[in-house]
Amino acid sequence: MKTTRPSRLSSSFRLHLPLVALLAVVVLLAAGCRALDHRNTRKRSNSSLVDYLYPRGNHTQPTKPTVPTLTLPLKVGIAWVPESTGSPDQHRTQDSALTEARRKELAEAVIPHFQKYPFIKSIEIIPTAYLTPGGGFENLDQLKALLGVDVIALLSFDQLQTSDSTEFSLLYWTIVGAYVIPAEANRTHTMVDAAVFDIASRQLLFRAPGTSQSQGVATPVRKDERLRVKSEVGFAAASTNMVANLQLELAAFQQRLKERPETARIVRSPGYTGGGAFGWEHAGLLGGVIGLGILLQRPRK
Amino acid sequence: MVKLFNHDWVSLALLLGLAALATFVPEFHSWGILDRDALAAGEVWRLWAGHLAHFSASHLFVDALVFTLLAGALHRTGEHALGRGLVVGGAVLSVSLLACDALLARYGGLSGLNSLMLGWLVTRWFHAGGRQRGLGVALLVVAVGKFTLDSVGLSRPGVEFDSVAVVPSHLSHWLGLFWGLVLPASAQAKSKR
Repeated sequence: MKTTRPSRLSSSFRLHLPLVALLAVVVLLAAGCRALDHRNTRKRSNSSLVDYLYPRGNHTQPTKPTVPTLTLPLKVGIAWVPESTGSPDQHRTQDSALTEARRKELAEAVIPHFQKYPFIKSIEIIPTAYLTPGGGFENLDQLKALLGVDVIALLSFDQLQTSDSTEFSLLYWTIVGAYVIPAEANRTHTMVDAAVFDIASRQLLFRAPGTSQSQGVATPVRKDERLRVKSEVGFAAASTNMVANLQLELAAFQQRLKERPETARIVRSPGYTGGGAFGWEHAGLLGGVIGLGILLQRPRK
Repeated sequence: MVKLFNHDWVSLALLLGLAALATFVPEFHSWGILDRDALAAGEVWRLWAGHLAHFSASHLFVDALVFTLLAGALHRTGEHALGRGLVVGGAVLSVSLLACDALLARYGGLSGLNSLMLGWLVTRWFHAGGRQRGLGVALLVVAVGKFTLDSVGLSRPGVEFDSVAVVPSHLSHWLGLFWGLVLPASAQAKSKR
C-alpha cells in the first residue's frame, strides 16, 4: 500500500501536467489581454449652471434687469447644481463624480471664510435633493420660500479626466509589465464655479471660478483607482482656489457698491448696524457757519 | 468727568485717542460699540462708548473734525457744562435711538453727539442775540436741510464705511439735534426756577 499510492499519484500528476500548464497559460493570457485592454479613456462629469437656470431653451424669456435689493444682514444658501448628462431632457441621477457627503464637505469648507462678515446673518448648505434638475429660478423661489434664504451661491463643476498609454505600454506584453510598469499617463482638469444670485431680483451679484490641473502615471490595473483619487484631489484643490477667488470677488463687489450705489439697494432689516456720520460737504458747510459765528462772537462777559 | 471737557484740549485729545482705539482695534471696537443685546445684558458703558466706535478711518476723521470744531465753538461761548452735557446727552441719545429704531441692533459714531452739540450751539447763539442769533438760525437751517436731504435719500453718503453692512443712521442726527435744543433749554428753565 505504501509503495503503490505515490506511484499512482505521480502518474496522475504526469498525465494532468500538460493540461494544468495549458490552463495556466490561458488564464495568464486572459489576464494579460484584460490588462492590455487599455484603450485611451476620457471621462467627463459636469453640472451646468445654465442648464439648471435656463432648461430647454427658457433663455428666450430673459429676466428683466432690476436693481437687486439686499436686505442686510443676509441669509445665504449654498447649493450644488444637479448634474446633467448632456442630453437636454435627461439628468444624471447616479454615478455622480461627487457624492452628497463630499458635496457637503466641500461646501462646509466655504462657510468659515464668509461667516465672519457682519452683513451675513447665516449660511445654510442646501442638499442637492432640494434642487430640481432644470428647475430654474422657479426652483430658487421655492428654496427662498422654504428656507428663507435671500442670496444663493450656486456651485457647479466640470471635470475632465483622460488616460493615454505611453510608449512604455509595449512592456504590457510581458504580462507582468501590466502590473508593474506605470505607462498610463493620466490628466485631470477640474473647474468649480460659484455664482452668487440675489433670488428676488434674479440678478447675478458676482461669480468666482476655481481650477486645478494634475497629472500622473499609473499601471493599467491601478488606473481606475488612481483616477478616482485624482478626481477627489482635483475637486479639493479647485474648491480651495474657488474660495480664494470668491473672497476677492466679494471684496470687489463691496467696492462696487460703495463706488456705484445704484448697483444694489441696501435695505435695513431687524438687526442692522447703523453708523452716524457727517459727510465732508456737511462738515465743510458747518465749519464755514461756525467759523463765521466765532468771528462775530461778542466778547465773553 | 465733569471737568474733562472744561475746555481742556488735552482731555479732548484723550477722548479722540479713545475714539481711535475704539475704531482701529477690533477688541476695543466690539467692546465699545452700542449693542442692543449687550446693553440689555448690563454692559451700560456702551451708552457712551458707542459714540466713540467708528466704522472707517474717514468716518472717524470727519466726525472728530466736526466734534473739535463744535467743542471749540461752545468753548468760545463760555459754556462750562460741556462735559456734563455730553455725559447726560450721550446716554439720553443712545437710549432714545434704541427706543425709536427697533430694527437697530448696533450703532457707532460721534455724529449723533455732534448733532447734539450743534443744537446746543444754536441755542447758545440764539440766546446771545444780535448777529449771532441770525447765524444760529442759519446753522439750524443748514443742519435741518442736510438731515432732510439725507433722510429722503437725495444726498450721497458722506463717508465710506468699511463694511456694506453698516447703514447710515439718519435718526441719530435728528435725535441728537432734538436733544441738543431741548436739554440746554430745560437746564436753563431749571436754573431759573
